[in-house]
Amino acid sequence: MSGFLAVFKNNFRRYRAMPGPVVLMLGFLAASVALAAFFGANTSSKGNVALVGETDSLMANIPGYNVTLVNEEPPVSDMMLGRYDAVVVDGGDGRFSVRTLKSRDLEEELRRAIENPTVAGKESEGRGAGANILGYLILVILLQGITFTGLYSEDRGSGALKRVASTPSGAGGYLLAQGASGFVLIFSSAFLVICAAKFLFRLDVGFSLAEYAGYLTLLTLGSVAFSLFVATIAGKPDDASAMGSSVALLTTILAGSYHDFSSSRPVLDALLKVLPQKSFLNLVEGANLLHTLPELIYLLAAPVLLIALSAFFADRKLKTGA
Amino acid sequence: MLRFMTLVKRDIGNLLSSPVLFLYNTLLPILMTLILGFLGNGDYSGSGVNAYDYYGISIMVFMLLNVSVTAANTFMEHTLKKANLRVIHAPIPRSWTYLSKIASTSLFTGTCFLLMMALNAFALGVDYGGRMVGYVIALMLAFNLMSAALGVLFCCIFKSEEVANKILSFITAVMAIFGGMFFQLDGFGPAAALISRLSPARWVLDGMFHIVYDGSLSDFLPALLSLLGLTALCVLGSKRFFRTEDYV
Repeated sequence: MSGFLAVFKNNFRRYRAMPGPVVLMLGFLAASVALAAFFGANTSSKGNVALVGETDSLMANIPGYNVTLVNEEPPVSDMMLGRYDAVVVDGGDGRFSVRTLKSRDLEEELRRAIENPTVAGKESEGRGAGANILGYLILVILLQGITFTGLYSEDRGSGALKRVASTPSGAGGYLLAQGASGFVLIFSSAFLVICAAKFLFRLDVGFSLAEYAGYLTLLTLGSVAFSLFVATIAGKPDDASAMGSSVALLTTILAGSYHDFSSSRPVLDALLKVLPQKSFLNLVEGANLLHTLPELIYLLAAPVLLIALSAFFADRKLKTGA
Repeated sequence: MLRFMTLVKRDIGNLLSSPVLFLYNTLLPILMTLILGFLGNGDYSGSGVNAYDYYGISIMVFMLLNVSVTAANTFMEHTLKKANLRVIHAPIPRSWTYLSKIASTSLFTGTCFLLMMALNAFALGVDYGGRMVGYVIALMLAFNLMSAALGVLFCCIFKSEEVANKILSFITAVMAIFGGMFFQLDGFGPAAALISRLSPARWVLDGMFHIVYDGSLSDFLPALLSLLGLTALCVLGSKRFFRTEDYV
């Protein structure tokens, strides 16, 4: 226990000794959380359509879509870049043509929506503001975890780890301390920014502060566990950072934080379910805590497992002298 | 010039000998393009354009951002740091110390990306502009250079490769997400569109898409000149922040 406390307190002394980078990183964290809150609060998930026609066109209002009136057909790149999901050209007299790069389904839906304006359009509710924000935050906090457990990789290289691990508290105590100090920094900054967003800027952040505290705890826990694990496996700090951020990025995108990769391939879906990020997303989008209990358990168990594995591997590497 | 090339050759040798860096610049982009393209294809109809086309370009732009991390590594990775001291004391201009790192990183990563473009074009059918591919390549190389210069600049400012690395990885990932590399952000409204316009990665992405899909060069010159301008700023910044005593 004393080993844990010593390393924990010392970490903060080390952070105080290099205020520049720490402040910068916390600043970025704050900025990203703010951006996420800002982006996420806007939950409109309607499709965007460019309408080429007159202002009194019959199609100026298509239910379920944001329609922008334009003078001429926008360039193809606008559709590639996502500014518009489809272009509708009003040919007059109720004739129209739909052009889209996306799937046939979208084309069909649009046609139906135009021809029968009374039918409720693509009213997909989309995620709530809170779920949106947390979705963006997954990656941010994962990356921050990698940053703040950097002291660990440093200690590996400098031999300080060997010294601490030979004390009675062992490598496990050391790792917990590293995890704890990272956790405190990341959690407090992220939480403070959410509070500021809610109270100072009066943004609708979706969930209550208590819920945010809970979700952020889960997220930070996962992030810290993951980065400790990566740092234990990789040797040098840069390897850990490069590998860790690449894996974090790829898995977070695949898990659908930003874009739903709804594929019709069940094997892939099953594989993706393993990702904790997917469980987290299910958890925040689910209305009922009881329903999402298995996800919650997974999200608590996975970090614990990762930390245990890290301790195991760290010990082994020390003994074999890696 | 010959002496400068000696430095550059040595640096490239160092880059090649680090397996992680090498894989990071070759395997990772290919893997990401394959996976994201494969999954994203559900969104696209087969009208000639598909997810591979989108990711073929956007992943490349994302990896170009990451060139800064590679550059930081070439410059100050702790096994290499002391060697810089010997270079400083050689009878060559001091600025060659960091200029050679920018040059070697750009040469190395530039080649990796050209290879990647070729692979994407032939294996995945990614459209890089046909006859206009020269302009796309020019933008790619300019951004490549700028990223390398940025990486070296951050190293000079933060004096430590680990710190620069962490900051750069973080900025890169955030710029990528909010810059719309992985999924199109314009659909989120004008505020989102504005924020994503702030990043040079966005200019390059837009420029490349305009060239390939609209045949329009209107973005090309402004983007190219801005990138070269930013590169010059980074080099000047490096000159200002570079201090020989940091290597002792």
